Amino acid sequence: MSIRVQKVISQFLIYIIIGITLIFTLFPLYWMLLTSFQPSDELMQYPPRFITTSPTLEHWRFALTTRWRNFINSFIISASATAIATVAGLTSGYAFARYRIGGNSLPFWILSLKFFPPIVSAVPFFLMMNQFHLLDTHIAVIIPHLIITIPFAVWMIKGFVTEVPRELEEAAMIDGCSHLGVIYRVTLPLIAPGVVVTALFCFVWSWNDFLFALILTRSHAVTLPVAVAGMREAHGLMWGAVSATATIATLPILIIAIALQKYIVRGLSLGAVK
Amino acid sequence: MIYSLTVSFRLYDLRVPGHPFVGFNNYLRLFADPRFHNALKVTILLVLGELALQFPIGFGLALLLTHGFRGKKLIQPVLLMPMMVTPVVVGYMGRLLFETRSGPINYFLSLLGLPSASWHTAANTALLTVMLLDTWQWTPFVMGVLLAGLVSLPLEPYESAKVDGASGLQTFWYLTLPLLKPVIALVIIMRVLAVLQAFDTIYVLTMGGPGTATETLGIYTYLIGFRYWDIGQASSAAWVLSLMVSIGVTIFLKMMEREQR
Repeated sequence: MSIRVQKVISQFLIYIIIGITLIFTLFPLYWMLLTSFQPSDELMQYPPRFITTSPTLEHWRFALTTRWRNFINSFIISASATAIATVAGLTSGYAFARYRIGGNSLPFWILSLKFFPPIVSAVPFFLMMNQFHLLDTHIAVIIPHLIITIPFAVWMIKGFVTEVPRELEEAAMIDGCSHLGVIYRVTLPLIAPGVVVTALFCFVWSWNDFLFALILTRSHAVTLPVAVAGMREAHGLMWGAVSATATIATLPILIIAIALQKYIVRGLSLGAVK
Repeated sequence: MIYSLTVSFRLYDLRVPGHPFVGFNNYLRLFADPRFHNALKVTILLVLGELALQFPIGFGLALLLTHGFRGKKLIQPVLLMPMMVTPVVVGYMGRLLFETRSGPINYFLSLLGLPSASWHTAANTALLTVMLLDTWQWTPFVMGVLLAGLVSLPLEPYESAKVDGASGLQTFWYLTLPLLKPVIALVIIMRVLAVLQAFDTIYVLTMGGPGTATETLGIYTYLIGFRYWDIGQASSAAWVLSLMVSIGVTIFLKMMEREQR
Protein backbone atom coordinates (compact mmCIF):
# COMPACT_ATOMS: atom_id res chain seq x y z
CA MET A 1 0.00 0.00 0.00
CA SER A 2 2.65 2.49 1.02
CA ILE A 3 4.60 1.79 -2.18
CA ARG A 4 1.48 2.63 -4.15
CA VAL A 5 1.05 5.89 -2.27
CA GLN A 6 4.69 6.70 -2.82
CA LYS A 7 4.28 6.10 -6.52
CA VAL A 8 1.25 8.36 -6.75
CA ILE A 9 3.09 11.10 -4.88
CA SER A 10 6.15 10.85 -7.10
CA GLN A 11 3.99 10.95 -10.24
CA PHE A 12 2.26 14.00 -8.84
CA LEU A 13 5.59 15.70 -8.16
CA ILE A 14 6.80 14.95 -11.66
CA TYR A 15 3.70 16.58 -13.09
CA ILE A 16 4.17 19.68 -10.96
CA ILE A 17 7.83 20.13 -11.89
CA ILE A 18 7.17 19.50 -15.58
CA GLY A 19 4.24 21.91 -15.44
CA ILE A 20 6.37 24.67 -13.94
CA THR A 21 9.09 24.03 -16.52
CA LEU A 22 6.53 24.20 -19.31
CA ILE A 23 5.26 27.55 -18.05
CA PHE A 24 8.81 28.89 -17.85
CA THR A 25 9.52 27.64 -21.35
CA LEU A 26 6.42 28.95 -23.04
CA PHE A 27 5.69 32.17 -21.17
CA PRO A 28 8.37 34.35 -22.89
CA LEU A 29 7.18 33.20 -26.32
CA TYR A 30 3.55 33.78 -25.38
CA TRP A 31 4.38 37.22 -24.03
CA MET A 32 6.08 38.23 -27.27
CA LEU A 33 3.15 36.97 -29.32
CA LEU A 34 0.71 38.77 -27.04
CA THR A 35 2.63 42.05 -27.29
CA SER A 36 2.50 41.85 -31.08
CA PHE A 37 -1.31 41.79 -30.98
CA GLN A 38 -1.90 44.38 -28.26
CA PRO A 39 -2.99 47.90 -29.16
CA SER A 40 -0.25 50.41 -28.40
CA ASP A 41 -2.05 52.11 -25.51
CA GLU A 42 -2.48 48.76 -23.75
CA LEU A 43 1.27 48.13 -23.77
CA MET A 44 3.35 49.53 -20.95
CA GLN A 45 0.35 49.52 -18.67
CA TYR A 46 0.69 48.61 -15.04
CA PRO A 47 -0.30 46.05 -13.94
CA PRO A 48 0.49 44.32 -17.24
CA ARG A 49 -2.36 42.55 -19.01
CA PHE A 50 -2.02 38.84 -19.62
CA ILE A 51 -4.63 38.60 -22.33
CA THR A 52 -5.89 41.23 -24.69
CA THR A 53 -9.57 41.95 -25.23
CA SER A 54 -9.08 44.02 -28.37
CA PRO A 55 -6.40 42.36 -30.53
CA THR A 56 -5.06 44.47 -33.35
CA LEU A 57 -3.23 43.62 -36.55
CA GLU A 58 -1.70 47.09 -36.72
CA HIS A 59 1.81 45.95 -35.65
CA TRP A 60 1.72 42.96 -37.95
CA ARG A 61 0.71 45.11 -40.89
CA PHE A 62 3.55 47.50 -40.10
CA ALA A 63 6.08 44.70 -39.64
CA LEU A 64 5.06 42.88 -42.80
CA THR A 65 5.18 45.98 -45.00
CA THR A 66 8.44 47.44 -43.66
CA ARG A 67 10.29 44.21 -42.90
CA TRP A 68 9.27 42.12 -45.89
CA ARG A 69 12.58 42.81 -47.63
CA ASN A 70 14.57 41.67 -44.59
CA PHE A 71 12.56 38.47 -44.57
CA ILE A 72 13.41 37.88 -48.24
CA ASN A 73 17.07 38.71 -47.57
CA SER A 74 17.21 36.24 -44.70
CA PHE A 75 15.55 33.63 -46.84
CA ILE A 76 17.89 34.08 -49.83
CA ILE A 77 20.99 33.98 -47.64
CA SER A 78 19.89 30.99 -45.56
CA ALA A 79 18.65 29.00 -48.55
CA SER A 80 21.89 29.57 -50.50
CA ALA A 81 24.14 28.77 -47.56
CA THR A 82 22.07 25.63 -46.95
CA ALA A 83 22.04 24.43 -50.57
CA ILE A 84 25.78 24.84 -51.09
CA ALA A 85 26.62 23.30 -47.72
CA THR A 86 24.36 20.30 -48.35
CA VAL A 87 25.95 19.52 -51.73
CA ALA A 88 29.44 19.92 -50.30
CA GLY A 89 28.42 17.90 -47.26
CA LEU A 90 27.03 15.07 -49.37
CA THR A 91 30.11 14.69 -51.55
CA SER A 92 32.82 15.11 -48.93
CA GLY A 93 30.79 13.54 -46.16
CA TYR A 94 30.39 10.38 -48.23
CA ALA A 95 34.05 10.37 -49.15
CA PHE A 96 35.16 10.78 -45.53
CA ALA A 97 32.84 8.02 -44.37
CA ARG A 98 33.89 5.43 -46.98
CA TYR A 99 37.55 6.17 -47.65
CA ARG A 100 40.38 7.13 -45.37
CA ILE A 101 41.07 10.56 -46.75
CA GLY A 102 43.65 12.60 -44.89
CA GLY A 103 43.93 9.95 -42.22
CA ASN A 104 42.00 10.33 -39.00
CA SER A 105 42.74 13.96 -38.42
CA LEU A 106 41.46 15.74 -41.54
CA PRO A 107 37.75 15.31 -40.71
CA PHE A 108 38.47 16.63 -37.22
CA TRP A 109 40.37 19.55 -38.63
CA ILE A 110 37.38 20.41 -40.80
CA LEU A 111 35.08 20.10 -37.82
CA SER A 112 37.31 22.42 -35.80
CA LEU A 113 36.63 25.17 -38.35
CA LYS A 114 33.06 25.26 -37.15
CA PHE A 115 34.29 26.21 -33.71
CA PHE A 116 36.31 29.13 -34.90
CA PRO A 117 34.78 32.11 -33.07
CA PRO A 118 32.84 34.11 -35.69
CA ILE A 119 34.17 37.34 -34.20
CA VAL A 120 37.69 36.26 -35.19
CA SER A 121 36.84 35.69 -38.84
CA ALA A 122 34.43 38.65 -38.94
CA VAL A 123 37.28 41.17 -38.99
CA PRO A 124 39.13 39.73 -42.02
CA PHE A 125 35.86 39.00 -43.81
CA PHE A 126 34.91 42.62 -43.37
CA LEU A 127 38.25 43.80 -44.79
CA MET A 128 38.03 41.32 -47.65
CA MET A 129 34.46 42.18 -48.64
CA ASN A 130 35.33 45.83 -48.40
CA GLN A 131 38.22 45.31 -50.79
CA PHE A 132 36.03 43.45 -53.30
CA HIS A 133 33.21 46.01 -52.94
CA LEU A 134 30.88 43.22 -51.86
CA LEU A 135 29.74 44.79 -48.59
CA ASP A 136 25.96 44.90 -48.22
CA THR A 137 25.34 42.14 -50.79
CA HIS A 138 23.90 38.70 -50.18
CA ILE A 139 27.16 37.05 -51.25
CA ALA A 140 29.08 38.89 -48.54
CA VAL A 141 26.97 37.14 -45.90
CA ILE A 142 26.63 33.77 -47.64
CA ILE A 143 30.40 33.16 -47.87
CA PRO A 144 31.15 33.49 -44.14
CA HIS A 145 28.07 31.38 -43.38
CA LEU A 146 29.57 28.60 -45.49
CA ILE A 147 32.59 28.55 -43.18
CA ILE A 148 30.22 27.30 -40.50
CA THR A 149 27.61 25.33 -42.44
CA ILE A 150 29.95 23.30 -44.69
CA PRO A 151 32.02 21.76 -41.85
CA PHE A 152 28.79 21.03 -40.01
CA ALA A 153 27.16 19.40 -43.06
CA VAL A 154 30.28 17.34 -43.89
CA TRP A 155 30.51 16.10 -40.33
CA MET A 156 26.83 15.25 -39.91
CA ILE A 157 26.48 13.49 -43.26
CA LYS A 158 29.68 11.56 -42.60
CA GLY A 159 27.99 10.29 -39.45
CA PHE A 160 24.83 9.29 -41.30
CA VAL A 161 26.71 7.50 -44.09
CA THR A 162 28.75 5.56 -41.52
CA GLU A 163 25.49 4.17 -40.17
CA VAL A 164 24.66 2.59 -43.54
CA PRO A 165 26.26 -0.88 -43.51
CA ARG A 166 28.98 -1.19 -46.10
CA GLU A 167 27.73 -4.72 -46.95
CA LEU A 168 24.57 -3.22 -48.41
CA GLU A 169 26.59 -1.25 -50.96
CA GLU A 170 28.77 -4.26 -51.72
CA ALA A 171 25.72 -6.45 -52.30
CA ALA A 172 24.32 -3.97 -54.81
CA MET A 173 27.69 -3.80 -56.49
CA ILE A 174 27.74 -7.58 -56.93
CA ASP A 175 24.30 -7.33 -58.50
CA GLY A 176 25.93 -5.25 -61.22
CA CYS A 177 25.38 -1.72 -60.04
CA SER A 178 28.07 0.88 -60.78
CA HIS A 179 29.59 2.73 -57.85
CA LEU A 180 27.72 5.95 -58.61
CA GLY A 181 24.60 3.89 -59.14
CA VAL A 182 25.02 2.37 -55.68
CA ILE A 183 25.34 5.79 -54.09
CA TYR A 184 22.30 7.05 -55.98
CA ARG A 185 20.03 4.01 -55.59
CA VAL A 186 21.10 2.53 -52.24
CA THR A 187 22.94 4.95 -50.00
CA LEU A 188 21.18 8.19 -50.85
CA PRO A 189 17.64 6.97 -50.12
CA LEU A 190 18.87 5.52 -46.82
CA ILE A 191 20.55 8.72 -45.64
CA ALA A 192 17.86 11.02 -47.09
CA PRO A 193 16.27 11.79 -43.70
CA GLY A 194 19.72 12.58 -42.31
CA VAL A 195 20.46 14.89 -45.22
CA VAL A 196 17.17 16.74 -44.67
CA VAL A 197 17.95 17.09 -40.96
CA THR A 198 21.42 18.41 -41.76
CA ALA A 199 20.05 20.91 -44.29
CA LEU A 200 17.44 22.16 -41.83
CA PHE A 201 20.13 22.70 -39.18
CA CYS A 202 22.25 24.66 -41.66
CA PHE A 203 19.20 26.75 -42.47
CA VAL A 204 18.49 27.48 -38.81
CA TRP A 205 22.11 28.39 -38.14
CA SER A 206 22.25 30.76 -41.08
CA TRP A 207 18.85 32.24 -40.24
CA ASN A 208 19.81 32.86 -36.61
CA ASP A 209 23.25 34.30 -37.35
CA PHE A 210 23.63 37.85 -36.18
CA LEU A 211 27.30 38.82 -36.07
CA PHE A 212 28.24 38.29 -39.72
CA ALA A 213 25.04 39.86 -41.00
CA LEU A 214 25.48 42.81 -38.65
CA ILE A 215 29.00 43.57 -39.78
CA LEU A 216 28.69 42.80 -43.48
CA THR A 217 25.40 44.55 -44.30
CA ARG A 218 24.30 48.17 -44.16
CA SER A 219 20.84 48.63 -45.67
CA HIS A 220 20.20 46.64 -48.83
CA ALA A 221 20.99 43.10 -47.63
CA VAL A 222 20.03 43.44 -43.95
CA THR A 223 18.64 40.19 -42.50
CA LEU A 224 15.77 39.80 -40.04
CA PRO A 225 17.81 39.40 -36.83
CA VAL A 226 19.80 42.53 -37.67
CA ALA A 227 16.55 44.33 -38.45
CA VAL A 228 15.08 43.30 -35.09
CA ALA A 229 18.19 44.53 -33.28
CA GLY A 230 18.21 47.77 -35.26
CA MET A 231 14.53 48.62 -34.70
CA ARG A 232 15.21 49.10 -31.04
CA GLU A 233 17.51 52.00 -31.71
CA ALA A 234 15.62 53.60 -34.57
CA HIS A 235 12.11 53.54 -33.15
CA GLY A 236 12.58 53.75 -29.40
CA LEU A 237 9.74 51.96 -27.71
CA MET A 238 7.72 50.45 -30.55
CA TRP A 239 7.26 47.23 -28.62
CA GLY A 240 4.35 46.02 -30.72
CA ALA A 241 6.11 46.39 -34.05
CA VAL A 242 9.35 44.84 -32.78
CA SER A 243 7.40 41.94 -31.26
CA ALA A 244 5.61 41.29 -34.54
CA THR A 245 8.93 41.32 -36.44
CA ALA A 246 10.60 39.11 -33.84
CA THR A 247 7.69 36.69 -34.08
CA ILE A 248 8.03 36.61 -37.87
CA ALA A 249 11.73 35.84 -37.39
CA THR A 250 10.93 33.05 -34.93
CA LEU A 251 8.04 31.31 -36.69
CA PRO A 252 10.02 29.50 -39.44
CA ILE A 253 12.52 28.33 -36.82
CA LEU A 254 9.83 26.95 -34.53
CA ILE A 255 8.22 25.11 -37.44
CA ILE A 256 11.60 23.58 -38.26
CA ALA A 257 12.15 22.76 -34.58
CA ILE A 258 8.90 20.80 -34.53
CA ALA A 259 9.91 18.98 -37.71
CA LEU A 260 13.33 18.13 -36.25
CA GLN A 261 12.08 16.96 -32.82
CA LYS A 262 14.05 13.73 -32.46
CA TYR A 263 17.16 15.16 -34.05
CA ILE A 264 17.54 18.49 -32.23
CA VAL A 265 19.97 17.14 -29.66
CA ARG A 266 21.98 15.19 -32.21
CA GLY A 267 22.33 18.22 -34.47
CA LEU A 268 23.27 20.71 -31.79
CA SER A 269 25.80 18.37 -30.23
CA LEU A 270 27.36 17.79 -33.67
CA GLY A 271 26.41 14.15 -33.73
CA ALA A 272 28.26 13.47 -30.48
CA VAL A 273 25.01 12.33 -28.88
CA LYS A 274 22.50 10.30 -30.86
CA MET B 1 38.25 26.46 -53.63
CA ILE B 2 36.61 29.61 -52.31
CA TYR B 3 36.52 27.91 -48.99
CA SER B 4 40.25 27.25 -48.73
CA LEU B 5 40.96 30.69 -50.15
CA THR B 6 38.99 32.40 -47.43
CA VAL B 7 40.60 30.27 -44.77
CA SER B 8 44.08 31.16 -45.90
CA PHE B 9 42.96 34.72 -46.28
CA ARG B 10 41.94 35.00 -42.70
CA LEU B 11 45.14 33.52 -41.36
CA TYR B 12 47.18 35.77 -43.58
CA ASP B 13 45.18 38.81 -42.74
CA LEU B 14 45.11 38.41 -39.04
CA ARG B 15 48.77 37.74 -38.61
CA VAL B 16 49.43 41.24 -39.94
CA PRO B 17 46.90 43.50 -38.29
CA GLY B 18 46.76 47.00 -39.62
CA HIS B 19 48.68 48.41 -42.55
CA PRO B 20 52.01 49.46 -41.08
CA PHE B 21 53.71 46.58 -39.34
CA VAL B 22 53.62 47.27 -35.61
CA GLY B 23 54.82 43.96 -34.21
CA PHE B 24 53.24 43.09 -30.90
CA ASN B 25 52.17 46.67 -30.28
CA ASN B 26 48.46 45.83 -30.62
CA TYR B 27 48.79 43.07 -28.08
CA LEU B 28 50.72 45.24 -25.66
CA ARG B 29 48.05 47.94 -25.89
CA LEU B 30 45.38 45.29 -25.43
CA PHE B 31 46.88 43.85 -22.28
CA ALA B 32 47.29 47.36 -20.86
CA ASP B 33 43.62 48.20 -21.46
CA PRO B 34 41.57 48.01 -18.23
CA ARG B 35 38.43 47.44 -20.32
CA PHE B 36 40.00 44.28 -21.70
CA HIS B 37 40.67 43.04 -18.16
CA ASN B 38 37.05 43.79 -17.34
CA ALA B 39 35.89 41.90 -20.45
CA LEU B 40 37.94 38.86 -19.41
CA LYS B 41 36.44 38.99 -15.94
CA VAL B 42 32.87 39.38 -17.23
CA THR B 43 33.31 36.50 -19.67
CA ILE B 44 34.66 34.14 -17.00
CA LEU B 45 31.91 35.14 -14.56
CA LEU B 46 29.32 34.51 -17.25
CA VAL B 47 30.74 31.06 -18.02
CA LEU B 48 30.77 30.05 -14.35
CA GLY B 49 27.34 31.54 -13.62
CA GLU B 50 25.67 29.90 -16.59
CA LEU B 51 27.16 26.50 -15.79
CA ALA B 52 26.06 26.82 -12.17
CA LEU B 53 22.49 27.50 -13.30
CA GLN B 54 22.12 25.34 -16.39
CA PHE B 55 23.90 22.19 -15.32
CA PRO B 56 21.96 21.36 -12.11
CA ILE B 57 18.59 22.35 -13.60
CA GLY B 58 19.29 20.55 -16.87
CA PHE B 59 20.51 17.43 -15.06
CA GLY B 60 17.53 17.42 -12.74
CA LEU B 61 15.08 17.70 -15.60
CA ALA B 62 16.92 15.02 -17.59
CA LEU B 63 16.66 12.61 -14.63
CA LEU B 64 12.99 13.47 -14.31
CA LEU B 65 12.36 12.78 -17.98
CA THR B 66 13.79 9.27 -17.69
CA HIS B 67 10.60 8.46 -15.78
CA GLY B 68 7.59 7.75 -17.91
CA PHE B 69 4.48 9.88 -17.59
CA ARG B 70 1.47 10.61 -19.74
CA GLY B 71 1.94 13.24 -22.43
CA LYS B 72 5.74 12.93 -22.39
CA LYS B 73 5.96 12.51 -26.17
CA LEU B 74 4.14 15.80 -26.60
CA ILE B 75 5.87 17.75 -23.85
CA GLN B 76 9.48 16.79 -24.51
CA PRO B 77 9.79 18.56 -27.91
CA VAL B 78 8.18 21.68 -26.43
CA LEU B 79 10.78 21.74 -23.67
CA LEU B 80 13.55 21.55 -26.28
CA MET B 81 12.22 24.46 -28.32
CA PRO B 82 14.03 27.45 -26.74
CA MET B 83 17.47 26.45 -28.00
CA MET B 84 16.37 26.93 -31.60
CA VAL B 85 15.03 30.46 -31.13
CA THR B 86 17.09 33.24 -32.72
CA PRO B 87 19.40 34.61 -29.98
CA VAL B 88 18.63 38.17 -31.06
CA VAL B 89 14.95 37.50 -30.44
CA VAL B 90 15.82 36.05 -27.03
CA GLY B 91 17.62 39.28 -26.17
CA TYR B 92 14.60 41.25 -27.26
CA MET B 93 12.27 39.03 -25.22
CA GLY B 94 14.52 39.79 -22.26
CA ARG B 95 13.97 43.51 -22.75
CA LEU B 96 10.25 42.87 -22.84
CA LEU B 97 10.05 40.55 -19.83
CA PHE B 98 12.48 42.33 -17.54
CA GLU B 99 11.08 45.77 -18.36
CA THR B 100 11.50 47.74 -15.15
CA ARG B 101 8.21 49.65 -14.91
CA SER B 102 5.59 47.40 -16.45
CA GLY B 103 7.37 44.15 -17.34
CA PRO B 104 5.66 40.94 -16.21
CA ILE B 105 8.61 39.71 -14.14
CA ASN B 106 8.67 42.71 -11.85
CA TYR B 107 4.89 42.37 -11.62
CA PHE B 108 5.18 38.76 -10.47
CA LEU B 109 7.82 39.81 -7.94
CA SER B 110 5.46 42.44 -6.54
CA LEU B 111 2.68 39.84 -6.31
CA LEU B 112 5.01 37.75 -4.18
CA GLY B 113 5.68 40.82 -2.06
CA LEU B 114 9.26 41.15 -3.29
CA PRO B 115 10.83 44.46 -4.27
CA SER B 116 11.13 45.02 -8.01
CA ALA B 117 14.58 45.03 -9.57
CA SER B 118 16.08 47.06 -12.39
CA TRP B 119 17.50 43.91 -14.04
CA HIS B 120 19.44 44.71 -17.20
CA THR B 121 19.39 48.47 -16.61
CA ALA B 122 21.37 48.32 -13.35
CA ALA B 123 25.07 47.51 -13.30
CA ASN B 124 24.87 44.99 -10.46
CA THR B 125 22.03 42.88 -11.90
CA ALA B 126 22.69 43.18 -15.65
CA LEU B 127 24.99 40.16 -15.87
CA LEU B 128 22.53 38.10 -13.83
CA THR B 129 19.78 39.01 -16.31
CA VAL B 130 21.96 37.80 -19.17
CA MET B 131 22.58 34.55 -17.29
CA LEU B 132 18.86 34.01 -16.67
CA LEU B 133 18.00 34.60 -20.33
CA ASP B 134 20.71 32.24 -21.52
CA THR B 135 19.52 29.74 -18.96
CA TRP B 136 16.05 29.89 -20.51
CA GLN B 137 17.53 29.23 -23.93
CA TRP B 138 20.26 26.69 -23.18
CA THR B 139 19.13 24.59 -20.21
CA PRO B 140 17.05 22.52 -22.68
CA PHE B 141 20.27 21.72 -24.53
CA VAL B 142 21.99 20.51 -21.36
CA MET B 143 18.85 18.57 -20.51
CA GLY B 144 18.57 17.02 -23.98
CA VAL B 145 22.19 15.88 -24.18
CA LEU B 146 22.20 14.43 -20.66
CA LEU B 147 18.86 12.72 -21.28
CA ALA B 148 20.22 11.11 -24.44
CA GLY B 149 23.21 9.97 -22.39
CA LEU B 150 21.04 8.60 -19.58
CA VAL B 151 18.78 6.67 -21.95
CA SER B 152 21.73 4.96 -23.62
CA LEU B 153 23.33 3.76 -20.38
CA PRO B 154 23.68 -0.03 -20.09
CA LEU B 155 21.05 -1.75 -17.92
CA GLU B 156 23.08 -4.64 -16.40
CA PRO B 157 25.01 -2.62 -13.78
CA TYR B 158 21.72 -1.25 -12.48
CA GLU B 159 20.24 -4.71 -12.14
CA SER B 160 23.21 -5.98 -10.17
CA ALA B 161 23.14 -2.85 -8.00
CA LYS B 162 19.52 -3.60 -7.20
CA VAL B 163 20.39 -7.17 -6.29
CA ASP B 164 23.15 -5.90 -4.01
CA GLY B 165 20.61 -3.67 -2.30
CA ALA B 166 22.06 -0.28 -3.21
CA SER B 167 19.92 2.76 -2.38
CA GLY B 168 18.76 5.18 -5.06
CA LEU B 169 21.28 7.80 -4.03
CA GLN B 170 24.12 5.25 -3.97
CA THR B 171 23.23 4.03 -7.44
CA PHE B 172 23.22 7.58 -8.71
CA TRP B 173 26.52 8.50 -7.10
CA TYR B 174 28.52 5.32 -7.80
CA LEU B 175 26.92 4.23 -11.06
CA THR B 176 25.12 6.95 -13.01
CA LEU B 177 27.67 9.71 -12.49
CA PRO B 178 30.78 7.67 -13.45
CA LEU B 179 29.00 6.08 -16.42
CA LEU B 180 27.75 9.43 -17.60
CA LYS B 181 31.08 11.19 -17.17
CA PRO B 182 31.92 11.45 -20.90
CA VAL B 183 28.53 12.97 -21.70
CA ILE B 184 28.77 15.37 -18.76
CA ALA B 185 32.22 16.51 -19.86
CA LEU B 186 30.93 16.93 -23.41
CA VAL B 187 27.98 19.09 -22.49
CA ILE B 188 30.03 21.25 -20.12
CA ILE B 189 32.73 21.90 -22.68
CA MET B 190 30.17 22.74 -25.38
CA ARG B 191 28.49 25.25 -23.10
CA VAL B 192 31.83 26.79 -22.10
CA LEU B 193 32.78 27.18 -25.76
CA ALA B 194 29.48 28.86 -26.59
CA VAL B 195 29.44 31.21 -23.61
CA LEU B 196 33.03 32.32 -24.24
CA GLN B 197 31.76 33.74 -27.53
CA ALA B 198 28.55 35.25 -26.10
CA PHE B 199 27.44 38.15 -28.26
CA ASP B 200 23.96 38.25 -29.87
CA THR B 201 21.73 38.24 -26.81
CA ILE B 202 23.89 40.72 -24.92
CA TYR B 203 24.12 43.03 -27.93
CA VAL B 204 20.35 43.38 -28.02
CA LEU B 205 19.77 43.36 -24.27
CA THR B 206 22.43 45.78 -23.02
CA MET B 207 25.10 46.37 -25.67
CA GLY B 208 27.66 45.53 -23.00
CA GLY B 209 26.22 48.08 -20.59
CA PRO B 210 25.34 49.63 -18.30
CA GLY B 211 28.89 50.95 -18.35
CA THR B 212 30.89 47.80 -19.01
CA ALA B 213 28.89 45.50 -16.70
CA THR B 214 28.04 42.97 -19.41
CA GLU B 215 30.91 43.66 -21.81
CA THR B 216 32.13 40.17 -22.72
CA LEU B 217 35.15 39.53 -24.92
CA GLY B 218 32.88 39.23 -27.95
CA ILE B 219 31.16 42.56 -27.30
CA TYR B 220 34.48 44.22 -26.45
CA THR B 221 36.05 43.05 -29.71
CA TYR B 222 33.05 44.23 -31.70
CA LEU B 223 33.00 47.67 -30.10
CA ILE B 224 36.75 48.17 -30.50
CA GLY B 225 36.71 47.04 -34.12
CA PHE B 226 33.43 48.29 -35.51
CA ARG B 227 32.56 51.24 -33.29
CA TYR B 228 36.02 52.72 -32.73
CA TRP B 229 37.41 51.23 -35.97
CA ASP B 230 40.61 50.07 -34.31
CA ILE B 231 40.71 46.91 -36.43
CA GLY B 232 44.26 46.10 -35.34
CA GLN B 233 43.50 45.94 -31.66
CA ALA B 234 40.17 44.20 -32.33
CA SER B 235 42.05 41.48 -34.22
CA SER B 236 44.44 40.92 -31.34
CA ALA B 237 41.50 40.74 -28.91
CA ALA B 238 39.82 38.27 -31.24
CA TRP B 239 42.96 36.15 -31.29
CA VAL B 240 43.16 36.06 -27.52
CA LEU B 241 39.55 34.86 -27.51
CA SER B 242 40.25 32.25 -30.16
CA LEU B 243 43.23 30.99 -28.18
CA MET B 244 40.92 30.39 -25.21
CA VAL B 245 38.35 28.75 -27.46
CA SER B 246 40.88 26.55 -29.23
CA ILE B 247 42.02 25.05 -25.93
CA GLY B 248 38.41 24.04 -25.34
CA VAL B 249 37.99 22.81 -28.92
CA THR B 250 41.09 20.63 -28.66
CA ILE B 251 39.70 18.95 -25.56
CA PHE B 252 36.33 18.55 -27.26
CA LEU B 253 37.79 17.00 -30.41
CA LYS B 254 39.98 14.62 -28.39
CA MET B 255 36.85 13.46 -26.63
CA MET B 256 34.97 12.99 -29.91
CA GLU B 257 37.89 11.03 -31.32
CA ARG B 258 37.93 8.71 -28.31
CA GLU B 259 34.18 8.29 -28.57
CA GLN B 260 34.46 7.19 -32.20
CA ARG B 261 36.95 4.43 -31.53
